[in-house]
Amino acid sequence: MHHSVEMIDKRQLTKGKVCARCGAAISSRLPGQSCPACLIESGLGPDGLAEDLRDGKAPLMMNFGDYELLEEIGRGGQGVVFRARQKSLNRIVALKVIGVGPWATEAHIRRFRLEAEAAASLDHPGIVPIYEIGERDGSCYFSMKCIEGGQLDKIAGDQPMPVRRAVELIVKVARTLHYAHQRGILHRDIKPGNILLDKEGEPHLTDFGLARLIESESTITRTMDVLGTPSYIAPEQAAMKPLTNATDVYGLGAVLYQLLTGYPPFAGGTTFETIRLVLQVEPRRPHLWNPKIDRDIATISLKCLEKDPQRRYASALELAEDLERWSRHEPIRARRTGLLGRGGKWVRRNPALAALVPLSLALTTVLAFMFSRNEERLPPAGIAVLPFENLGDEKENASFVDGMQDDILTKLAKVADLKVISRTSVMQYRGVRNTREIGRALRVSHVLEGSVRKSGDKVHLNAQLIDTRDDTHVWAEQYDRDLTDVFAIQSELAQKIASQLSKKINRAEKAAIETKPTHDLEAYELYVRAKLLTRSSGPDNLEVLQKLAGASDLLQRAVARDSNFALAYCLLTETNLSLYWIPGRAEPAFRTRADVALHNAQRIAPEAGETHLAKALFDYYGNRDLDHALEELDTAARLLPNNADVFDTSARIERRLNRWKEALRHFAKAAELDPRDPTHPTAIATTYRLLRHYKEAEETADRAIGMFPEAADQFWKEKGEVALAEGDLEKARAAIEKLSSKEAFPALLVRVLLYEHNYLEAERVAVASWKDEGSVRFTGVGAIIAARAQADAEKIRAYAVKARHAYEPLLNGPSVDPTMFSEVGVIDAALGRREDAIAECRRAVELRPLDRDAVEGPDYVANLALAYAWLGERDHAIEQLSSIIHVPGGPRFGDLKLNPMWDDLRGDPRFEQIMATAAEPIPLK
Amino acid sequence: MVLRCDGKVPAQNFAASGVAFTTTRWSLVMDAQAESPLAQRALEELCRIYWRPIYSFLRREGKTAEDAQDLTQDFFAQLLERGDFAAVRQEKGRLRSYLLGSLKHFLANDRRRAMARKRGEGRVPISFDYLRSEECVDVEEQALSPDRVYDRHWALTVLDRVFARLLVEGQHLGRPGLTERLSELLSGEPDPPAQSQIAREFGMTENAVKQAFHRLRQRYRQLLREEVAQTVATPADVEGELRELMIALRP
Repeated sequence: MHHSVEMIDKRQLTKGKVCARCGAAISSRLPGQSCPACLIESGLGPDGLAEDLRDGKAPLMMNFGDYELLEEIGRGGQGVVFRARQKSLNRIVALKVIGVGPWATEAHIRRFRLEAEAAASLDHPGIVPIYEIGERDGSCYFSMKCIEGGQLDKIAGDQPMPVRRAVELIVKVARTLHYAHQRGILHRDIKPGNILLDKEGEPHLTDFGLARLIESESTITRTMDVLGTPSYIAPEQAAMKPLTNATDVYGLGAVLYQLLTGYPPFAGGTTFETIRLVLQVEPRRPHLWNPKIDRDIATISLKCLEKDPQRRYASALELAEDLERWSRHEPIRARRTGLLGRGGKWVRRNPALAALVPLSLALTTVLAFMFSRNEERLPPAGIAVLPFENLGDEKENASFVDGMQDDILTKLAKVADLKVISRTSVMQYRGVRNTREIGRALRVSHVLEGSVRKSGDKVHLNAQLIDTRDDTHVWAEQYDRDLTDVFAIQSELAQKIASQLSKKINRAEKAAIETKPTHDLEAYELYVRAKLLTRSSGPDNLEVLQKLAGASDLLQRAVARDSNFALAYCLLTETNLSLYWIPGRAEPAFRTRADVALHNAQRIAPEAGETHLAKALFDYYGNRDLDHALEELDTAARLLPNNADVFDTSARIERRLNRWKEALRHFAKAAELDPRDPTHPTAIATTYRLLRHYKEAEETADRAIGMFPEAADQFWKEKGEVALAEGDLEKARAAIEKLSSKEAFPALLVRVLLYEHNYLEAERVAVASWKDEGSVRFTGVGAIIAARAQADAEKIRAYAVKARHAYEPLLNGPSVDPTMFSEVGVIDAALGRREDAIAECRRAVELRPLDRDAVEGPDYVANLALAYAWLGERDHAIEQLSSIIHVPGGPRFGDLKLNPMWDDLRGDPRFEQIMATAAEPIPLK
Repeated sequence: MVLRCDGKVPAQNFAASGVAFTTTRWSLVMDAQAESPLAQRALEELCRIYWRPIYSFLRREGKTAEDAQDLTQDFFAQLLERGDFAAVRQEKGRLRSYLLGSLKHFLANDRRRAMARKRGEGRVPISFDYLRSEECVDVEEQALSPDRVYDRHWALTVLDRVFARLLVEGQHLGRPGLTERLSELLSGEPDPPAQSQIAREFGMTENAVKQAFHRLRQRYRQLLREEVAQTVATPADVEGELRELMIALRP
């Protein structure tokens, strides 16, 4: 009472005056005693100032508790290092602020402190002493002696260091390491960035034990998140196996390798690639990088880099001693590693060690397509046609130039004997010069580069075929022709390239290649522009809609110019089907337009592969005629052997027909042809999830996160789904925290909250996401479930009415999608309208029974079960659930166990039995 | 290919397709190739929200309250009629700078006379009701340039909306007044003495208050970003806009 009186007084005093934080004027409209600037500042950064520091944004106040930050001196995967002044002691220190991340629990932080304290107990001239350890604003930090000199990697740069000097440094670090090992402390993260040099050039080791912070259940990607570059980690670290002294020896060997050659021992194009190299491939012999390296020193460094820890030096001391022997020109102890020559696959040689790599059998089947297990050094034969360079002055020729590339690519793609990468995957390499990188990323042996100058009615094309394995030119040609000849040029070029690659073209393929798509160049350009629009994606439906509408426009203009432009009609079919399928639309006009376009294509070119593909799309997306669609796709696959869409669509249909193995195979093939399109790994992960092969689903998602950091959200969502299916709430939470935008997945968030039994919050999130009818449909049921869990009859009714109302436009519209009946049925069950609820749910099941749709069919049955459960008819509910328990896509264990919507059935032994069965994976026949 | 979606049934898995993103109003306007009704409506809405900085700018320029109101209406009417969106792209898609530039252009070209005729058909009924209570211009503002005044009121508008939403959401929490009290702590460090005060006032444990505050702060940050996202072209611009606002607000 006494205190609250004081509080009120204080509030009155400060109201309407100045900001408590910075003294500026405040507005009476806003709460509290802060000025707008401070309020906005506090709104920046998800974790407060510490996170801002880590993210490299200029800190506006250079203060971090007792430390005044002077400048940033280093940055790594875990965090940032500052030169700072410790105010209380008035000394200069190095302050490292580490991003702990949401998956670090109290236990982790405690362990970190223990480790850091142990490291702090080390007293050796070669180890940077730690002064203080702490936590602030959700970030861990520690302060240490500031070594004026710099990180080894910055100092050494990309050039090889003089051998003697490198050896000298490593000997010293090795002895330092040995000191720590003798006291039972491992470093775990040896890399050039953790070796600091002082003014005298002496090395100091820093950051002991930090890798502890991310141990145990983390997946590979999470590790990489924190450790930064994976180039230096030991194979057993990548495989999440226990670490030993030999792990640190490996790290030191990697540093030695880098100093000697100027390159880290393994560097793939992506995180995933690098890890794969670490696990499966021998490092390149050092003297190939730097001829000044003699055999012996090479042997020593390679011995450190042995995959099998037991084959390395047993201790850092042994390494130091062997290096000293080398310095003294004495014979070294290490044996030359001639046994593991080229082509030797570590994984194959050591089956026990192969178990370190957590790949299951099913996954390897898929990976066999996605990542060919042939000799890693030689990417499989295949070609990527890179975007051509526009040499002309006018920007408006850009479409023309792109059109040439597109046509050549399409023509080459007709050759069954040759693997040709899809256009979507090559477009991102515009202007990229590093063909070796491209070859590795896309897994092709060759690329075609070209440059085009169009001036007046002439076109000049310069084409080069390059071998990506060693970056050499295989063949080059120039064309100087009339514009009207352009298709002829492209046809010649395609055939020449095929023959250069020793690939056979049969008569049918030749005929297809030599067919001109159109006689009107402008029409072709319109087509190319339309194609680009249909292949791009947007952040939301509205943007996609606009793009598709734009594409449709362009295509109409194209066929107006040339009424025999079959390709344009095929694309128009696809575009209109896409418009038809934008969620919530289903306007019959689009379907009709698709039909018309298809008929035109069939009139002009009935035998063309593209026409068969268009027909297949119409069969499936327009008529739901799965069998005919597959037939057409079969034909299309023969005629368009490199078309990822053919395989992707086949896979989707096969899934619905319960042919899961084929589906996976075809998704993998699509991924092989279109490696830079994240929709394929998404589909694969989802498929595994439906089959309850959760490990494979996660691994696929993890790899994809490494490969597609900019599209990571959909994979984090997938991981969240897997976690929920397994019933692992912590993991689900962690995945959600990784989303760059939680608002984009409100339904997922609501479900996690429901599973966590945080009903109010679930409700709040659901309600907050309601901006229009579509969004109400997304999360309306979630709100109802939350209300039911709170046994709040008013809320149940309110939400149910609102949700049902959101379906009115759909119910009154032209669509006959069973999904809406199914959902409305559930809502009606919540309202107690028994007859309606059962009728609607049953209707959905009848429209789409299990044998006609193995993907969504089970959901309709589950909804029927749910409706029964909510209406109090247990037996019927159990009956329905039992019928789908052995079916892919059926209810998940996590769902049954944790989702409050099933609460009405809990306790029933039959339900418990169903739950147990739901945990089992479905065998892949 | 757009057709690739793994549609699933909401009751079981209520995210019907992977595409679930709220459209920001300004990005809608920006992308409009032609005048789509959606873009028009979006722009109208934005005008309704952000009239205050425009008005304050005009007042700081020395216009009377009536003139400033009229000008604001005219400016928006003209904007909606012939929005020149090529200029927007030059502004890198930031509505705030675009509106200010547009306003200055409008003033320079003296279109008021032309607009005087159209006033009756005003398409953007902006309610100036709240003006009177707020008409006291801070003494501090007299020391600021009109541009700065504009930015300040822009920021205040943003914050106003964010806090309004926070309060509305807070009503669900079942502890009336808690959100307001916690909001007062929002800028600056979480303050243990103040938090234990609140704990006593509401009969909660200090831990519970700490958690509630933390959640509030997260939500505040989220809403702040959402609000700003409505006026920039891409999500990536949000941070930059927030920083600029903050820098503009600091003396």
